Parts: sequence; C-alpha cells; structure tokens
Amino acid sequence: MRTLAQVLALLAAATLQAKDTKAPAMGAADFRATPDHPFGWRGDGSGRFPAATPVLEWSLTKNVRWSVEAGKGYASPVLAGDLVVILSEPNLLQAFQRADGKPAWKKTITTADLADPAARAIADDYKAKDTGFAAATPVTDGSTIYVLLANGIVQAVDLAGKTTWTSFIDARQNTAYGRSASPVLTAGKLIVHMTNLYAFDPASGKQLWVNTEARCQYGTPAAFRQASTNLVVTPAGDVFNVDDGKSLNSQIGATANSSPLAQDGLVYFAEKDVRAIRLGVDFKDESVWNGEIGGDLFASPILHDGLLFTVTGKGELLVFDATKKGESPLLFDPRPLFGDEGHVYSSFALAGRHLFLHSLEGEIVVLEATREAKVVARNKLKDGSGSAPVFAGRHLFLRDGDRLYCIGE
Amino acid sequence: MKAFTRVLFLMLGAAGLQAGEPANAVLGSPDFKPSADRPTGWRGDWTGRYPGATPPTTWSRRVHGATTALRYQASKPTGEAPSRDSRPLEYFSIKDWLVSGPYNVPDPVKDFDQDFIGGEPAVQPSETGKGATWKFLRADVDTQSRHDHNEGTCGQSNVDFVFAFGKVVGEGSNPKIEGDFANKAAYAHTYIHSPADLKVQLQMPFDGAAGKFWLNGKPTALDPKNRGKVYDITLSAGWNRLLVKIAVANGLGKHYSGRWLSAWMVAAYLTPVGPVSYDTKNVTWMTKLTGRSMSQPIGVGDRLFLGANISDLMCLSKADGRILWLRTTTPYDALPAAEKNSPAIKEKIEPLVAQLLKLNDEAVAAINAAVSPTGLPSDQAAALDKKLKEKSEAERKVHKAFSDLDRKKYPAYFENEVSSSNGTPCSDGARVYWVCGGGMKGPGAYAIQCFDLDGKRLWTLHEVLGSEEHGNHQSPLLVDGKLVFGALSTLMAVDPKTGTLIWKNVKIGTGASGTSPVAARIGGAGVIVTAKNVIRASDGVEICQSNLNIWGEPTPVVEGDVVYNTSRFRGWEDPTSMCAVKLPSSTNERGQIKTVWDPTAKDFAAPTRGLNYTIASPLFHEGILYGVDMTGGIVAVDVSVPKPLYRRFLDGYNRYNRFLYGVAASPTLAGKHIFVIDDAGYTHLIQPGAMFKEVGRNVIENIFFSSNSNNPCRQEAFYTAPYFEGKAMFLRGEEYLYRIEERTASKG
Repeated sequence: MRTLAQVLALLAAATLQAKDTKAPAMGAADFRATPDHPFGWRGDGSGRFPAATPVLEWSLTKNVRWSVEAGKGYASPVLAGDLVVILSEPNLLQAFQRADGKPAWKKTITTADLADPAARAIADDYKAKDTGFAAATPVTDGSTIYVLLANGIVQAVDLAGKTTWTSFIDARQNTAYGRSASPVLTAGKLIVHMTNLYAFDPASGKQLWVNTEARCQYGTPAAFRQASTNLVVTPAGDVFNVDDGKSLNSQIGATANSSPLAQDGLVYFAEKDVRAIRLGVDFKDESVWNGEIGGDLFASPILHDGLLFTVTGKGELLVFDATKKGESPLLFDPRPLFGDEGHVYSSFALAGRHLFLHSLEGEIVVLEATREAKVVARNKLKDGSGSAPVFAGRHLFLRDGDRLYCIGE
Repeated sequence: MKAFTRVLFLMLGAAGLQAGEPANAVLGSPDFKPSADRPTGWRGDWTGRYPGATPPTTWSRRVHGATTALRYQASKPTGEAPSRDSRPLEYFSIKDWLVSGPYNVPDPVKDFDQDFIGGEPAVQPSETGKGATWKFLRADVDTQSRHDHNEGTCGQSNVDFVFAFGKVVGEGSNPKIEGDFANKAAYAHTYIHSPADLKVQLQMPFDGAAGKFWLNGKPTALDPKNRGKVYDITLSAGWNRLLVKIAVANGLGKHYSGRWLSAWMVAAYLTPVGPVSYDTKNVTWMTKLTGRSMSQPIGVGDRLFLGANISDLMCLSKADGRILWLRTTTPYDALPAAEKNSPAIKEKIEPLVAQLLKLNDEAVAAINAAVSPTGLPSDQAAALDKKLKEKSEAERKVHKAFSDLDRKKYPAYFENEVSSSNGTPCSDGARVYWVCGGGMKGPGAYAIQCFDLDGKRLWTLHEVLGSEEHGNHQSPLLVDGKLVFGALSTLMAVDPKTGTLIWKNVKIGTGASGTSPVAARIGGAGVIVTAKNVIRASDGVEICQSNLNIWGEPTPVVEGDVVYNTSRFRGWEDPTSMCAVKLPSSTNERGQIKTVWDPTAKDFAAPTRGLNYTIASPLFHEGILYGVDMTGGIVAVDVSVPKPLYRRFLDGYNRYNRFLYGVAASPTLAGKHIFVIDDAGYTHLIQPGAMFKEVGRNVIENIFFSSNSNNPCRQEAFYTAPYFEGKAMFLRGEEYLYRIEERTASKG
C-alpha cells in the first residue's frame, strides 16, 4: 500500500513537472503567478528572471514607459495578472495596469479591518521603526494578493482590490529596527515570519500552526522541497516542515539582514559567514563550501552559472565561485559599484544574462552575470530605493523614491 | 547537623567578618565591602551612585609640549600674546572660527580659484572689519545641522556651512532646512598661537567638491580623493593664520535613509609629530589593558576587576596598578575532564591554549613593567601593542579551532561589537563572576565564569544563547543568591557557588543587546527587570512586561518600586523621551506594571537634529533623573511632577561614529558631582540640581599611532563609566585603566 502511495505521488509529481515545463518561465512576458508558481519578494525568492529581456539603459527621459506616484516603502513591486501591485507606507496597497500604469485600484489597510478589538488595540499601539510598516513585499498566487504590515496585520486581497480576509499576528517584535520579512506562499500555505513562524490557510486566513522557536530576523525565509517534504529555512538557519511547522534542523547557517537562498539542491547564506549547505538524509546539514565577508550587508545573494553574487551595504560587489568545495575565497577584492558614497539595501536581480542593482542614491547598475562581472550600464533615476526590481518580458518594474517606474523601449 | 553548621557559620563566620567594620558604609566609601546582600557590579551597585567617594575635580593627561602649548581664537589678535579669547588646543581640535559666505560659484571645481574676499592669502578677518563679512562659529555639536548616529554630520568637529548659512527649522529626527546651497563657496578662518616654530600635522577632513587651505598665506589644495589626508606643516612662533575654503555643487547631501544632511563642511585637527610623550596631573598610575572593551572596573578589597580584549578578566592592584592575575577564557575552560582528553582537543586545541597562556604571561610581564603615572610614550607603546596583538591572534586561533570542530556549538567568542569582554564583572566579596563572549547577528556563545579573588577558576559554563544584531553587552547580576545573565531571548540563573543551573527562561523579550538585567524588590522578594519584562528571581517566571520601550542600549534604573528609562521609543520620526513605570505589588504571574508618567513633550528628551540614540543609562539622584544621549545632549527632569529642568548639549569632543560613540558612558554620581565622560575621555563635572552648572572639565589625551584596536580616530576612546572609591577614581579607556586622585604632577 505504501508502495502504491509512493507511485501515485511520483506520478502526481511527474504530472506536476510536465505541467511545469509548459508554464512560462519567470521573467517571461506571459508569466502569470499561480498557486504553484507564486510571485512575491524577488519573484520566486531567487531574484532570477531568466526569461526577461529588458533594456539595459534608461534615464528619467529615456526608456521610461510610464511612472506613477506610489508612495515610499521598502516593499518591492509584484506582478499579479495584468497588474503590478505595490505596498507603500504606511498601509497603502495599490494596483496599476502593467501596460500603461493606469491606476486599477488602491486600498488602505487599517486596524479597523481587524474584527477583534484586542488585536486592534495592539496593532494601533505598534510604533514603526526604521523599516516602517510596509517593508514586506506582498505575495500573490495569481488570484489573491497577501499583504503583511509590520503591525501584525495579515490581509488577503483579490485582484479587484477587495479584502478576502484579515488576520493578525500578536507577537512581540524581536528585531531592533523593525520588521521586514516578506510572506511566502509554498505548498498551499502562507508562511509568515514575524517574531515566530506562522502558517496560514491562504483561502481562509486561519492560522494552521505556529512555531515559537523560529526566531525571525530581517530576511525572508526560503521555501523548497526535498525528499518529498516541503521545507522552509529561515535566516537564522532553522529548517521547518511546512506541513506541520515542526523543526527539522537548526543553525545550518546564519544571516541577520539578508535572506537565505534555496537553489539547485543547496541552501546558501551570504552575510558575514558565507556558506552553501546540503541537507542530507534526515535533513542533517553538511557544509559544501564556505567563505567570509567583511562589513555590513543587507542584500540577499543571487546564484547564476555557478557564481554567487552579493553586495555590501556600501555597494561593494562580492563574487564567490559556488562550484568549489571547502573554503571558497572571493574571486576578487570587494569592488565598489557606486564609488565611495554608495549605499545598498536592495538585492541583485537577474534578467536574462544581466544583474541589476539599485542603490539608495538612485543609481541602477547593470552587470554581466559572469565571473568578470563587467559593468555594462549605469542608469540614474531620482531618489533611490531599498526594494528590488522585477521583470516581465522586455519590461522592468521598479520603485524609486515615491514613484513606481515601468522601464522599457 | 547541617542547620547547626549554618547557625555556627552565621555567628562565627559572617558576624566575625563584619566585626569592626562599618555595617552601612555606602558605595564609594573606602570602607564599602561587597557582600552577597550588597554585591558590586555594573555601575557599582547598578545605580551609578558612589555617594561615599571624594574624587578629585581636576586631572589631565596632555601631550608633552607641542600641541599642548598651542592656543587658538577666532577673533583677530590685538597683541602678540594670546588673549583671554583664546582657547587651548584640546584633543587636537580647532573649534573657534570666523566664517564668510556663501558665495556663488558657477562651477565649484573649475571656478574654485575665484577669490571672493579680495586677497585670500593675506586676509586677516575680524567680525567688525571692512571687506568681506565674517561671523563667529564654534564647531560644537550645537552647530552641526544633523546628528544622525549613522553617517550624520557629527563624525567630526565640523565647521558646518549648511548650519552657518542655512536655517534649521525645528528639531527631532528630520527637521527642515532652509537655504540655497547649490554652487556655493565659503571660508573659515582661525588664528593659532604657537610659542615657537613648531612642526605639527594638520588634518582637514572635508565634504565638498574642492577645498584649499592657506597657512600664513601659503596655499595647499585639499585632496578630494583622500579627505583624511595628513599634511606636515610648520607653525611659526607667534600668531599663525589658517584659512580654509570649501566649494560645493550641492551642499545638501542625502542620508541613506533619504533624509538630508550637510555635504558642505570641514574640520581641522592639529596633531603632534611622533614620538609623543605626556604630562599628567592627578594620575597615580596608568595600566595598559590587553584590549578594547566597555567593561567597567569594580573594586573588591585591595583589588580591581575588569574585562578586556576578547575574553580577558584582569585583576589589578588598586594601590599600584600592577596586574595580579589575568584569566583568558575559551570553551576549553568549560570542557569536562573527559572531553579534554579527547584526541581532537588534545591535538587541535591544547597546543593553541598553551601558546595563548605563554603569551598571556609575557603580556602581563610587559604591561606591569610599563605601569606609570604618565603612560607609555608612543614609540614604546608600539612594541607593547605588537605583543598584545600577538596574544589576541593566539586567542582567535583557539576560538577558530573550536568553531572548526563544531561551528554550531562553538561560535567564536570574538565576533561581538566593540569586544566580547563588554560585560562588567560582579562580586559578592568572596568571588568574582563574569561573562564574556557573544557574537553578531544571531549566533553567539558565552562563557559564564567564577573565580576566587586570587584567580582560582571555580567553575565555567559554555552557553550557546545567540546574539542580537550588534552583539551582546549585558553584565551579570547577583540577586537573592543567584547569578543572573541574559543574552538575546534568554535569561538564566545559576548557583554562584557551583554554576549549577537554577532556571532558564528562553522567552524573554529581545531587541536590547546592551540593556543589562537589574534587580528590584516586590514585597521583599527579588525580581529582575529586563528591557522587556519583570521576572521573578526565585524561578525565572515572567510577572509582566516592563513597558519601558527602551530605544538604544541603556539599562533602566530602579528607585524603590519605580523604574526609570531616559530613552523611551516613540516612533521612528519622533524623538525619544522619558518614562517611569511602577512595579506590580505582588510577584504573581498576572502582575500589571503601571505607568507613572510617560510625557511626549520634547522637553523630556535631549535636544537633537537627527535620529537620536542612547547608550548611556540614566542617573537618579535626589528626585532628579538625568539622561545623556549619544550626541552629548543632557536632560534633567524633576520626577515628582514630572517637570523638565534643563536640556542642552555638552560642549565636549563632539565626534561620533562607529568607533567613537559620542557619549556612551553613563552619568555617574561621586560625592558632590555628576561625572559625564565622552568618548575622548573629556569629563564634564556637573553640579546636581535643578539648574545646569558645569563646574569642571578634564582632558585625557592619548593619540596613538599603534593600538590593539581599529579605532580610526587616533584618540583613545572611553566608553565606560568610572568606578569610585574613597579619593580615587578608576577610569577605563580603550587603552589604559587610570587611577586618578589628588597628587603632584607627573612628567612623561
């Protein structure tokens, strides 16, 4: 019987994969988020949009298809159907038509949306810190957008801007500068890392489980599947079973500001201690390679063609050979991408064969995603941003200051 | 039988011990003796008050000759000798200037040489003279347009032209700025008096597109690619003229948070040419410390104890400053005997530990040979620093070797911000307890340890508790016969005699890496106040949240059943203020803390033009609560109303960055004065009371050319409140521990 179940599961997985091969790749113009392929922070969490073919050069007067005032915030835009959706301070969720930037709808998410007066009082009392209320990037399954505010409000909104449900997380903030971890959709659950690790039913907003041992940092957990188990690994390096929230391993790596990356069978942490981890049988961790980074870092890494790219808070490019075993030193000394005055909160995004990085001063540098990491373009907008760009076909969507831009020819 | 023994001990032991000793000697008195009931530790007894002390009010350590002989003034000299307007050069900083501007410059680089004042090389400005208009500007914290603790203006004692020619409207985290700062140039000028021709070094860190200085009319272009460049100059005997010009394309820069900040400023420092020796006044001895730390000294009997470097607990003789013993703690010291015999430990760890112990012995001998009333001249300091670096490296190797064995069980101790030895030891008079270790951004391991006063290690625990983003700086606490320590989300209590765990609460609030636990009493029972909770000392159970909303690193003070916080977070865009909460009346688990007062008015916070941050803890004295923030803003409040009494900036060293935190040391009461020490060791003596009155200032110069730290500011940093006993003050710097008391002057 067990064998039969396994065969059925394999068949189901094979069917899923067959379906997957037909789905447009992330970054394709016709990519549409689905429950199996949600779109959230850094797209699918990896920052990779391999099917995208954006322009490499633009300015305030060149290759801007449209721009709209959208408010400020650290949250990145997400693509939901024909809409681009963005969350702004302190509680404004807006949708614009991807094609022309025309407003589709906007809504404010307020504590009045909470039915429970006790929850309302707690949310009202929340004092935002550096990261504000709207640092977490929403996530969508193509029909619903899931939004998280730093005051604990979790809300589901349909593509017409109508609230489906509102829930609340009552947990003492454990991070000094605020809350910024984005929600993640995986294996039919909405995972929220806010002090503790929570799973919600995306359909109803019902809390399915909470693990209070999963201390959050500023980064977003990475979701992946291994040995038929749906896993999520947190920035603190704790590994949990998505199905029941049970802990499977801990401290496999550690980041504070950035997020782990799960890709190609390994989990990567890239902050002070850079480490590629393989989870083996029983989810025991094995260090595949490790390196070291000096200085503060806020960006999350990106992996492409055996190279791990990341950037320091001062905008220094760091590249590791991700095919090594054991110690893997930097391929070259930290290379300033924005001169002496750069500041970077954003993470690299890959479109096609190029890496894009936005500074807080408003410059977006474009690099070849190669060992040489040659800078091919520098594009200046006005104000800068700590959020990351997203891509669809030949179009690039990014936040700069209080505006949302669509870049393309 | 056991009970009889206890009674006998109490009658013959404890009672006998106290015979002939004042039973109630107050802290600071030479007769004060710590005990289990009256332990000593962080800020003496966790209050920062040493009422029994009678320390000196004047002391100094100044560079021998050279820069100490210099004076400067903004106003045009009227005679050959320095006038009453002139000021001594302290901490190598020129702070008084005349400024002129703003002048329109079409291109700040191409048109930089345009002369706006009719003869730049020859100018001798005065506020009342003909020609260009000049106005006085003192480069202190009150004349910086922004105070943000990360990359704000106050990294230097700047002439901030944005402040000089603009208008800052309001205060708080993001005040408005009015003015035109595009394509502008401006000048600053000062007069420097030297008693003789003198070779010195000039540093003029600046922000702008181009800059140039003229010394006695001779021009030198400032290097925009090396803004910290040191220029060798010669001052002439008598008065010298120093003019500097800075041009900008846009004088308003952008802070990475998006807020504006000044990008048009310049500072000036005159430093001596090495080797440098020193003269001191009222310094009995100076003992070189093994490394950087925020650990405060405590006194027990004839000894002082303090943490240093990565994990050094140092025991010094109060009398002569010599190191009596030094114990470095690594995970090796916590290993059970069986584990010490494992092949991995024998082969990979023990040789490294042996090397560390050997270097420790050499370091102690070298330091003791160098104890003196003036400290080492810079050339001799370099040799000692080299030895200390070797020792530190040897210790790092031990920690790295442990991490290689098991990176989860042994996160390296040395990752903590500032140092892993930041905790202050505590003592019950018979033993000394300390915690070192920590980490950054998550991982973190600690060694909780106990020694007798002669340095015999009694027990050591290795605990993996994790760490906050900026590490952990909490000091251990003795309360109700328990040794309590907190890190990240854990608060734990162990038996001081054995190190046996009594309780561990892993659910206390997090987010306060520098806030140490403090003891209070509710109905006679001991409780522990942390940043986020009130915890029962008997079993570690949370009674209630503390509702202190602490922003920064301060530890609250407890006065009776009221807890005070001088850095109450009110929102990212709003300045912090103060609050007072009253402890619940019982220790049951549903206790409620009550707000006594929680005013939002800005008068309850130190003044600021930026995001203020506080490291120093409050001082409560005679009904007045004193708070000091990182910029050197001081605020005093009458707690009975509450009513603001004063708020102002202290005129001190006024530089802060990630190495100099501005003011980190907590205000401390000793005898009749409040001592506020900034990060250069510049000590303000404040008279307690409703009116602000500064009754003295003292300078400790230590420009180091070598060091076992990475402080880029070259002046020794002081992060730590002093310990007082009798007539002596024990002041801990990054480099030295100083014993300060009335004595004759010493020449280096």
